[in-house]
Amino acid sequence: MKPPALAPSLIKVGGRYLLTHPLQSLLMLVGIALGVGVAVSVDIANASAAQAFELSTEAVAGKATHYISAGPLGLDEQTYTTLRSAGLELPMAPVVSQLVTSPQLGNAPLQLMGIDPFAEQPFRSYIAGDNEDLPSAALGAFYAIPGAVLLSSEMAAQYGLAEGDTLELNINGIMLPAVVAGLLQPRDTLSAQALQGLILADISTVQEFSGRLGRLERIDLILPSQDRAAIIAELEARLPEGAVLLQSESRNQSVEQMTTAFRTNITALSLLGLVVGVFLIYNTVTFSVVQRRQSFGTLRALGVSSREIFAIVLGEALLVGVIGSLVGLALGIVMGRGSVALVSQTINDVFYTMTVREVSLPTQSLLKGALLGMAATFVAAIIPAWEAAKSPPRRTLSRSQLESVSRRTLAQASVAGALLAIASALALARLNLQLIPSFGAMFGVVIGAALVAPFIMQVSMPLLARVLAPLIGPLGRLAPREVSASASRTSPAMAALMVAVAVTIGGSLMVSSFRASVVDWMEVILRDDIYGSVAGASITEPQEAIEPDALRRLESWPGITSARYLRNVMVDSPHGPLMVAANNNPDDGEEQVYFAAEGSGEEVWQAVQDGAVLLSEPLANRLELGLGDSITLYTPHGPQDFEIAAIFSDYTSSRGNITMWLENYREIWGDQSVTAFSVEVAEGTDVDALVSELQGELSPEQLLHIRSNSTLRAESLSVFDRTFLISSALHIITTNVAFVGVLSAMLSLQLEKQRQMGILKAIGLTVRQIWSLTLLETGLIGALSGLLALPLGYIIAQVLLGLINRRSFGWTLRMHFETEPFIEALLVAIAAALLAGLYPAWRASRRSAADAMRFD
Amino acid sequence: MNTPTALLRISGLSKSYEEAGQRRPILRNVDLEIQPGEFVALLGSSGSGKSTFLNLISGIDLADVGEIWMQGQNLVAMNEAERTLFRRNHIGFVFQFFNLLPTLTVLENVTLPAELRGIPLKQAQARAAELLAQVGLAGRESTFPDRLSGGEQQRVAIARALSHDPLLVLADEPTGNLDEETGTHIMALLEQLTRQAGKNLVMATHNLENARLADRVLRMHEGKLVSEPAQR
Repeated sequence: MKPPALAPSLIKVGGRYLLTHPLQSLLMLVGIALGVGVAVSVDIANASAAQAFELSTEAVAGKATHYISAGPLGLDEQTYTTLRSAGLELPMAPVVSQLVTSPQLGNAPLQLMGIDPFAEQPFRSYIAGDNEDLPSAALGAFYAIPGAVLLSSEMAAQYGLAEGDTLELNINGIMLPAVVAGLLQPRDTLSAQALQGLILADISTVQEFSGRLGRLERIDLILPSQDRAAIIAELEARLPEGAVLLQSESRNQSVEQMTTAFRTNITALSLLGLVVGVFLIYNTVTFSVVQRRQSFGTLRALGVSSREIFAIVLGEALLVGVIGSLVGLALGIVMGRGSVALVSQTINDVFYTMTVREVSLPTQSLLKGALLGMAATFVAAIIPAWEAAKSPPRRTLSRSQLESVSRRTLAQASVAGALLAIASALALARLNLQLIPSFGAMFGVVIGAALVAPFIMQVSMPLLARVLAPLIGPLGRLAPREVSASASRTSPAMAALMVAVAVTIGGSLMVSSFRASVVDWMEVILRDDIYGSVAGASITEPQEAIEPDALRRLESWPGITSARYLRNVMVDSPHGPLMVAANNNPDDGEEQVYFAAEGSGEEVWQAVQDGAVLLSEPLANRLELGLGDSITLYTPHGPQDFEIAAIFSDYTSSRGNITMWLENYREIWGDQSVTAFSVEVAEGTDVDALVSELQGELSPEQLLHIRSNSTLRAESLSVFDRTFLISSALHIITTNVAFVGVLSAMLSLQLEKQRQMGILKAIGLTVRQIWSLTLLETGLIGALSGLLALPLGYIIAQVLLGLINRRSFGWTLRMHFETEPFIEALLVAIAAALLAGLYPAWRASRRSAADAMRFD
Repeated sequence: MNTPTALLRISGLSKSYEEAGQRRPILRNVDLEIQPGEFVALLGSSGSGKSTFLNLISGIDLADVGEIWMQGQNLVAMNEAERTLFRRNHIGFVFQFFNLLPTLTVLENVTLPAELRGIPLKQAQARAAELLAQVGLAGRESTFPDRLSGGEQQRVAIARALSHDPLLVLADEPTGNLDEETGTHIMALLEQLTRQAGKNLVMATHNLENARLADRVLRMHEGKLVSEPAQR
């Protein structure tokens, strides 16, 4: 007779244990579900943001392989006509686009795209693939009605719009009327998604709306791969001066790189939540093994093999893992909706304007989440399952021996942990690691420290017993000894709490150091009294032109002593489009924080006025350029090299910018636009009153956002804080997972010690003393976790500031040491542990001595 | 004595444990033969090595030296997995503290060894129900062990020890955790059922009354076996 793979009764042994210990099963489930939920929600947010990015770039670029551009002022539309009639037989389409918002469309940023419907087919088939997409009636209206625009039918339905409705479009702060001339019925999901953030109009309409009459933003081209070099040469020969032929993909590469780094950062943070969850699962499974040592001993005596015991323990864990992962997926989807908002907000603030209209639920994210949950459960459960299986029957029957095995394992783990932490720290310090390996090494330090921590607990608790006993009597001796004697259960809880608290300290210290750097930096660069830009434009890098009339009036406004202008503009370069910030502030040389410069600020600025440029640190890092190098930009007169006079600190965006003298920019590019201004006011002027006056009267036509120096700083800091909302949310969740871990561990301990509690009660311990003992035990775990988390948190902050941030965003940040994050974290650790001890203490205190003693 | 028909043949068996860095001998050079159907009682004070001896016979623990032959196989030469399989197929256990599995019902506890041996579930359940009826627990099949008295739990344990038709039943102080009256009933039941099933019983006890039921009584003293005349 061949025995079955696993006897049905053995399956019941596992299954019923879970059912008869619902609280423990629930805690384990919560650990897995939270870990998976966080990872999935971040993945969904990332995927949605990535998809929105891809769609917005694809929607705009379509199938174009190349494009012709001529800088900020665009191309003369004659160039298109000339190329069209040159007999090149290449698909080409003229484009003029403009970021707009509309109160009727939820005020989210949208791309208004001016196109030639007859040239579009090869490029953006979802716009004009065939007549199904672009109804002929709508096409007629496209030309016949002034301000005619087309929307996707889905967008119209979302905002309750129909054909013939009017819209107000906010273009550069000026409200312009438009008419919904037709609705596009997308053929498939892809077309529908591509059309999500787009409003289409005839090219002349957009030219008129954006004040670019006769100009094209670019001409899209599809160049065949065959003979491409020859075609490029032929095209370039026909281009007017200042126009360049560029590869379409170069346009978005750098932005994609940076947002990928951002997404990697939050993914790593979310995975830390799962690491803490692993400790929790380990804790629960270990407890289930310890609690059933007698049952396993009996089973082994009855002839159940090690492999079968292993299968029971692992099977139970995996069953909870499956359910926990499923709950985690649901949780991830719900939390994902919140995370999408946070992630897209950060991307909008720091990287580029994008609207995530749809939360995508990629099967890949869900599959990844489920696999992560199962893998985490497997990793966490395999050691206790193996411990349960490998113990010979006699040892399985003996608890003290199990603890002695556990102590040996702890010693071995601490040696392995110390080696892992040291090797990872050395790799971080000595090797020039890229982003993902840097995170890997940081995880190595964290996990290594988590493995060493229980050993420190083992060593320190007996010493603590000696200190506490004279102070608070027998409880002071008993509590530390209990913590150390139950190492198999207290260790994972302690390690989990330490990791969570250290991550919180690391994160807070990084954010507060970053914030302090930004505050210091703003102190240096923001010296004027009032700042202004077009309303609705990016607070950090406004690119929308201010009406020249407003600027003329500003210069002669009473109370204003001087006005400075800034032009932010994207300029093409061999590295793709780069942000140029040209200003005419004569003192700008003194109002920068230099990262690398030769000579004084005044000398540097003189060099800039003479034609050199400054590179912000993130850009210099990304392009690997330094002092004395030069950078090439495409100008209307062809490619031009600009000497780099200095590298300056800049936290405006991680995209970085090139600062140049406004007069030089105007001379080279012939662009007189101004996108922001700042003014100094006469002494004694009421700045707030002047701000209100300017806001109301400077520009009746164009909405401007004018604010005082202090308001601008406050707004900038609120953008900064918003950027870190997602990290803070992830820290809170990680700490919660750790809290569940401690609760689970304490509950396990108390359940197991019921007999001991009974004895203590029988010999005269009061209810109050039972409470004190339990809370003292959890408090000790919390305090030690918190204390050990302090140095680890500091190391994490150093790695985040010095390595991860530089790799991800190009910023070098210095540590601004503050004691608050440390004190807060220590208090959080103790409070979480005490809170986790309340329920077990309550249970222990309620149980009668007789009952408790009967338990064993 | 070296009888070819012996069910169990033990020779030169020794076992010691390490305590505070020193080896403490528990069993010293033990020889024993048990004939088919024989009921052997092991008398001895606490710590005399009775339980260790049973653990070695069942393969739960491994001897330092010596041989344990049963069914033509030497347990001492087997690895852990082989000993587990051997125990699963040939040994039934009755413990002092009953050691029923709390998450399984009475019937499931009794069925488990037969299931492990590969007996089809229906057949195993029928046999278990029959044994439960024999120990006087018919109608309690669906009850969980925590609802049973100590005596009832030990009856389940006896049924469990016989459910997979083992060659040898090992009982370690089977009445040690029961009151006198219940203990007497349980002992009678254990003897009756093992004899009725034609099984061998090796029982460790310090209770003389229980030992009197055995065919042969052996006294364990300082790790050595001393034969005593049967007192029935």
